[in-house]
Amino acid sequence: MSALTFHNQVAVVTGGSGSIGHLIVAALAERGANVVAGYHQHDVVVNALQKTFSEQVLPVQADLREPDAGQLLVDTALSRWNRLDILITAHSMIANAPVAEMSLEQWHAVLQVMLRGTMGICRAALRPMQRARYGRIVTLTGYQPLAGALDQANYAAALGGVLGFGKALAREVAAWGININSVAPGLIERAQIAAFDPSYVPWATNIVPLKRLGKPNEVVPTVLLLASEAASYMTGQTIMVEGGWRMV
Amino acid sequence: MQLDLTERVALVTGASRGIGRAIALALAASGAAVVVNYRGSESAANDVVEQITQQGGRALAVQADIADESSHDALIKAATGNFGRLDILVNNAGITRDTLLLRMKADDIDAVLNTNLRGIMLLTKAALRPMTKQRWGRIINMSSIIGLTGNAGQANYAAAKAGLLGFTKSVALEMASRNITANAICPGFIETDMTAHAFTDELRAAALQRVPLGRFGSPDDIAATTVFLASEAASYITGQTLAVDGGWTMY
Repeated sequence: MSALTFHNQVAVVTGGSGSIGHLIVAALAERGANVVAGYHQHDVVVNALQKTFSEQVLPVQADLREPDAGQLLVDTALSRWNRLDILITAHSMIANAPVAEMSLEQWHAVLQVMLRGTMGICRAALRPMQRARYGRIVTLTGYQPLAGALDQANYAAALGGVLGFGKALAREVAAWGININSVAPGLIERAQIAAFDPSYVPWATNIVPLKRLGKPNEVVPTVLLLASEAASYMTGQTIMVEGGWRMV
Repeated sequence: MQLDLTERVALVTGASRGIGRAIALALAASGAAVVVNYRGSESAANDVVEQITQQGGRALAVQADIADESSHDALIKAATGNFGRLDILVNNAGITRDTLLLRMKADDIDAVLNTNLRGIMLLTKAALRPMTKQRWGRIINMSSIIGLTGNAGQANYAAAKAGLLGFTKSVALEMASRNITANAICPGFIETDMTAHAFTDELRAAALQRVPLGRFGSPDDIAATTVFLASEAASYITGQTLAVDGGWTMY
C-alpha cells in the first residue's frame, strides 16, 4: 500500500493541544504535512509542538464557540500555505450530568462546541478542497452516540449529530474527491483520568475484551489511514477503536 | 505508525486472483511471508508467488478448497512449517451461486454456506492454535456490503456474509485476551474478474449510480485496508466491520 506520508499536504487539526489531538498534529508533521494546530487551552502543548516542528506547525488559538472560529483556522492555513488537504476535528468538550439534572447551559455548551463547531469548520474547509478536487475530513467522535453513555446525553447527541452530518456531507461532496470518515475511540487513557473516581481504571480494564484501556497513540494510526490517499475508497464510515468493548 | 509486517506470516485464501491477489501482494510488499491459497487457478497462484519472490519476498502457493476441512491442516502447516509461524489469516476465498430464492436449490445454499461461512469458521479455528501460542494474531474476514444490504438473487451469499460478521465479533470476544483481533471488511463494487463477468453494462451503470464517489473500487483499495488491520497500527481495533465501498452503504 502507499505509505502513509503527507509531503506537501496541509492539514488543520482542531483540539491540537488535546491528549489525542496533539499526537495527530505530531504524526502529520512527522510525515511531512504542514499543520495548523487549533487549540483553546494548554498553549504549552502546542508551543512545544511548534518548537519540535518549527515551520511545519502553526498553533492558532480559536474558541469553537465563536461562529467564525472554523473559518479563521482554515483561512490561516490558506494564507500561510495556500492549500488545504486534510481537516481533523479532534476538539472535545464535556459537561456531564444526568438528563434530569442537566442545565440548558450544559446542553448548549456541548452542542455548540462539538456539533456546531464541527459543522462550521467542515463548511469552511469545503471551498479549498473542492477547488483542488481533493480532501480528507476525519472527525473524532466516540462510542457515546453508538452505544450510549451515562451522564453524557449531551455529548452523545452532539457526536451522533456529527456522524449524521458527516454522512450527509460525504454524499454531497463525494463528486469532488472529498472523503469524510469518523474515528470513534472507546475508553482511552488520557490525562483527565487522574481526576476520575479511582474505580474507573479497574472497571474499564475489566470490561474491555482486550483487558486494557487504549492508548492515545493507538487511535492516531486510524486517523492517519483515513486522512491518507490509502483511504481513497472509504467515505461515510465510522471506525471504532475500542478494544472490542461495544463492537457496534 | 507501524505498517511494517517484517517477520509476520500470512495466509490468504483465494489469493490467486482479484482482491485476494492484491492482498497477498500488498502484505508481501509490507514484509510478510505469504501462503497463497488457491482452489483451481494454479498458474495464476504461481504468478503471484513469482511476483512476490522476484521482489525479494517470501511466498508459497498451496492448493486447497476451503469448503473441505480436511485440507485445512495442510494450509496451516504450510505457514508454520515453511515460515515458522502464522500471524495473519485473511479469509478471502468465496463463491457465488446467484439465483432468486424461489429457484434456489438446496445445493446452491449448501455450496455457498460451506465455503463462505462453514469453511471459514473451521479454518479460523485451526489458525487460532498457532496464534494462541504466539499470543499475537490477526483474523481478517472478507465479508461484503451484500451482507449489510442484502441483494436480490443472492440470498445465500448475503446470509453467509452477514453470518461472517457475527462470527467475527464472537471470535473477537473469545480471543481478545490472547491478543488476537478479528475484524471484517465489506468491499463494495470492486473491479475484478468476478464482477466483470457477473454484471452487464446496464447493471454496472445502475450500480455506479449508487456509489457517491462515482467509481468502482480497485482490489488495491481493499488491500490497503487489510494491511492496516493486519499491522500493529490496528492494535486496539477488534470486532469491527469496515466498509470500503465508496460511500455506497454508510451504515
